[in-house]
Amino acid sequence: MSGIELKIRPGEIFFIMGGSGSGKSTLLKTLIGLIEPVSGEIFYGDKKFTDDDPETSSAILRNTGVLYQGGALFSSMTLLENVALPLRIHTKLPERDILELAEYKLNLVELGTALQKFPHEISGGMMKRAGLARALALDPEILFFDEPSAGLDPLTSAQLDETILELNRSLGTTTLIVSHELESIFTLAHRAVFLDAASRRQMEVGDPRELKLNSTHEEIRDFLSRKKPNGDA
Amino acid sequence: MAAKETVDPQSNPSIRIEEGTGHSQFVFSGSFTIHHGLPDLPDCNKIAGESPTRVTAVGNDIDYWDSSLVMCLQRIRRELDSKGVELELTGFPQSIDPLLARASSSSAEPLVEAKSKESLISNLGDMGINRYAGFRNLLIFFGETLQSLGRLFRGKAIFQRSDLTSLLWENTGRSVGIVFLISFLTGLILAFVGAIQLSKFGADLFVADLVAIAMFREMGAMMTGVILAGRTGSAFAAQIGSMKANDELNALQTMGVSAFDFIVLPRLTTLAIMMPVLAFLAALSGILGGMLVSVGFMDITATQFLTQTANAIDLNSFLSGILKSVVFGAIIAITGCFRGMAAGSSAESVGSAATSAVVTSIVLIIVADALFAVLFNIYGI
Repeated sequence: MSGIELKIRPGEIFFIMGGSGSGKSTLLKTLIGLIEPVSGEIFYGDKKFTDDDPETSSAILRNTGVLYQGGALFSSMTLLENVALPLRIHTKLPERDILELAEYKLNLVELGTALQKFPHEISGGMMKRAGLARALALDPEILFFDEPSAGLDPLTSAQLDETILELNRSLGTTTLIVSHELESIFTLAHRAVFLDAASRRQMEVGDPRELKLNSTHEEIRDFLSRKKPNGDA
Repeated sequence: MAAKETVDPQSNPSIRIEEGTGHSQFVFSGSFTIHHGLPDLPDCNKIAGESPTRVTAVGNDIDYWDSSLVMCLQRIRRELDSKGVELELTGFPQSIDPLLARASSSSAEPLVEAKSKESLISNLGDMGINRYAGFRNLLIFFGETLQSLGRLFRGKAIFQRSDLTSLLWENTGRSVGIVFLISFLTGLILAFVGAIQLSKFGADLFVADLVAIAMFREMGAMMTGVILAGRTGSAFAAQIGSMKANDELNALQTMGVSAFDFIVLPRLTTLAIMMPVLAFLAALSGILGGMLVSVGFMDITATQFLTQTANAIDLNSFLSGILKSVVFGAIIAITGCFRGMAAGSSAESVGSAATSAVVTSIVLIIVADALFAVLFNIYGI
């Protein structure tokens, strides 16, 4: 990938979109430190995110939450324990407070009645929401979502979108979402970047509703209008 | 809202009570974040004892806040609700109300006690039922495998021949080194231990007999079985467990292909074929180890050792070892495949399946060896 230049505003919901193989997940993984960039810099506020300063990088990551594509819940722990884990590791709160906070996070995503369930006992949609609750455990300033709607039926996907929107409005969390789901993009996005699958470069950044009508790139207009390259819908 | 990473001692959270005529106020000040920890809550019993109908919580002096603030308010509200006192909020951030509403939306269950304790008899009963179910499933699996073998002999089993060749290489080519090494060392140890006792009777040369008979009749097949149980049996269980978690077994079923034909049969066949080969190799390498000890540390030449070895091995010893190795190979394949198919969908259960495949295989190999010992004794083999 190359030519990536992004500035994400505090509190906005920002989408990283593009066709399959355009590097959306690669970009996300680079932003959260799972992949090291060959060149370039990443800043969180005024703090540089770099392998040369692991202490600063760890502090930055503790202020972020990530929802992975499959939820990435720990299969040997209940939902409550999954959400409590980051609190146990990164805070000095007593156990009672940790459990209560974990329950609160699960309530935020409407899983308050499934606290003692294990991941294999719940549906895919519930796993995503539990993963979201865990991503919210430390009250992060930034949330990353990797294809949150993958594998979900339209109704469940819409419910998840609604949860993300409500949380963004209530908590003011900056949210970066990797997705190619047009419904989600038009429901949630304040702005988005479009990545080109052929060149794996950044093509354009803007409000998806405006990009759909006025983008200088036909591929972007076609993508957002769900048109095939020859112009058919 | 901002969650502060570094704790500012000047802005620790506090809640103080201010009394007014007819009502009380909880004044919140400081930073309410999880890194500051939840503050001590005001004594709601004292407030309720003065019979107010409502209490006001004032939040104008809050610096930073996160879930910690929501938790405090929820606890206070819960305490006051139980005493019939209403809590009003004033001066708090706008987003507090919807967050509080969501925080209260679960069915309140005790958090600490996750599982109720059951009696010992109940647990024993559950264990017995599970063991019986496991044994029954194993018998069913064994029956299905026999049916699959029947289809194989009739030429109606569906599987990929390429799986056979790749499994043959995986199970044998890659196992030769470790089987050779372990068996060589086993023969070495047998020779050392045997020599000590035999030398007391001036029968040093019979070390060759000891090693040859032990390796061909018992240790060749046994050591190969144990090695492959750990190496191959666990791999089978993990592979099939992962396939199950990935819905690959379901996909086979919907294609009209028997999982026993497609998955179990190749594995059973390769082990049944290659175990005797490996067991024979193991026996030879054990004899080599024994010869090294005899020639190196005892007054026995290589020619003497090999001549004695050739005289000691009879057809019964050779064939009994081969028969055992075939049976051990079948045990490893069936156990590994059974555990894999019985695995759950989580990473933990796939790991457990691999472990139990090894343990079960080794136990069954030893049991089978004991049965063979009894049978051979009865029939004078």
